[in-house]
Amino acid sequence: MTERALSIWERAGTSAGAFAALSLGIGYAITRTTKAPLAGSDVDYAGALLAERMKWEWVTFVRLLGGILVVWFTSSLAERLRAAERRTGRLAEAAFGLGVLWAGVWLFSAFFNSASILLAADYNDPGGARIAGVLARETPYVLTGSVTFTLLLATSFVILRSGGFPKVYAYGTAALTVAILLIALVDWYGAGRLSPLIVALALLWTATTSAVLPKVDRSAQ
Amino acid sequence: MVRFERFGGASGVIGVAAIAAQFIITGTAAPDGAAILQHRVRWEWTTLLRAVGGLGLIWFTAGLAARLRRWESPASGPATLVLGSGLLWGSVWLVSAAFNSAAISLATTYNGAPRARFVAMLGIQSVLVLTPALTIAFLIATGVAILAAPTFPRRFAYAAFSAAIFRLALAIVDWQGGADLAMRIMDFTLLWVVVTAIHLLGATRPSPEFRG
Repeated sequence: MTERALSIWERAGTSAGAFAALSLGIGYAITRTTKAPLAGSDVDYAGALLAERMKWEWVTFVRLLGGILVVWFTSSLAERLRAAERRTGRLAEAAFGLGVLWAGVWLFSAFFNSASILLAADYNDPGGARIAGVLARETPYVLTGSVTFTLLLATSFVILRSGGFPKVYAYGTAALTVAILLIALVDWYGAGRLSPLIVALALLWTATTSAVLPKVDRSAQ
Repeated sequence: MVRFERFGGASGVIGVAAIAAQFIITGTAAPDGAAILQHRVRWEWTTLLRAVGGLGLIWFTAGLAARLRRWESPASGPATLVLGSGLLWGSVWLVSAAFNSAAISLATTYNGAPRARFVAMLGIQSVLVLTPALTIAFLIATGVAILAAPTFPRRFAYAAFSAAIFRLALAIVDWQGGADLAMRIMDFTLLWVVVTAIHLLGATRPSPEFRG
């Protein structure tokens, strides 16, 4: 019973990253079908939000689910990195902390989305609803770049030194770390709206890592 | 190690007491600027109690995770999820305290009474919206870790699974709009923290040895 429960847990933990990426991706797909104008007037925004309320409730739900799955995936990733680092586990701890932080970003995005609905529906505060809507949208866009850059950096250091991870994945992660840093700098400088690309790349990496983790050769670590 | 776990248990009780006290003092309704000005001291206490509650929950989580990882057993995977979700839950209370403090500052110092209610609402709703999801993950991981290594009585694992399923049902009804059950979920969660804290304080001890 014990071994079976743990084996199921381990497999589910490594798959959690792919499901997190799927869940958060569905959230973005739903928002693309909505009409609430964040750049419009407060009243227009609140009216449109309430007209398609259930869609926004689903966005809250999938972001909550995605955030929890990111924590689960991170704990699974940290365990593998800890095993790869053997004695110290310092970088694994750093990766764990950053992954938890990234999950927090998604959970707070879900919360701001929920607050936006509540402010429009129960508090009769269309201005507040629009501000909360902007916070829900911008929180992952603003924070994903810096948090995932550092998470990928810690992960890269461990997997490049460890023999257990596929080489393509290890070099790909290191290259993506540099790419995210460059894209984030261009985005911050204001030359283009690149934060959705950063979020997409981070989710793609999460799903890929999820697929790679079960294939890690533990004997080679 | 035992002392650290006991300290975690004591912190859990203190954290829950602080959180319960702030609900008694100010409830769950978001105040407007005038209400904050009228009862400023109450709202200042709410900020302090939410911060104490958040820190208490973080210490409690560290103590619980230490017990679950006692033998560096295979259960350390689920224990890591317990640690992650517990840290986030404690942090949510700290952010809630920050929103509450900002609402007081808006009403009293920054001439922003109309926006104080908005910020105070973010303070109370942040904990009500995020507690169910985080604590369901916390409970499931705790149950799996206990089944993997006898750090708590086995029946405690089944109780954790049952509590997670019950809370999931309440959360779905609440999300779907059937009823406002956020406070019921909070009550059950705080109760569960107290029961676990009593275990950590010494009501039960882990098996003296474990061969994973």
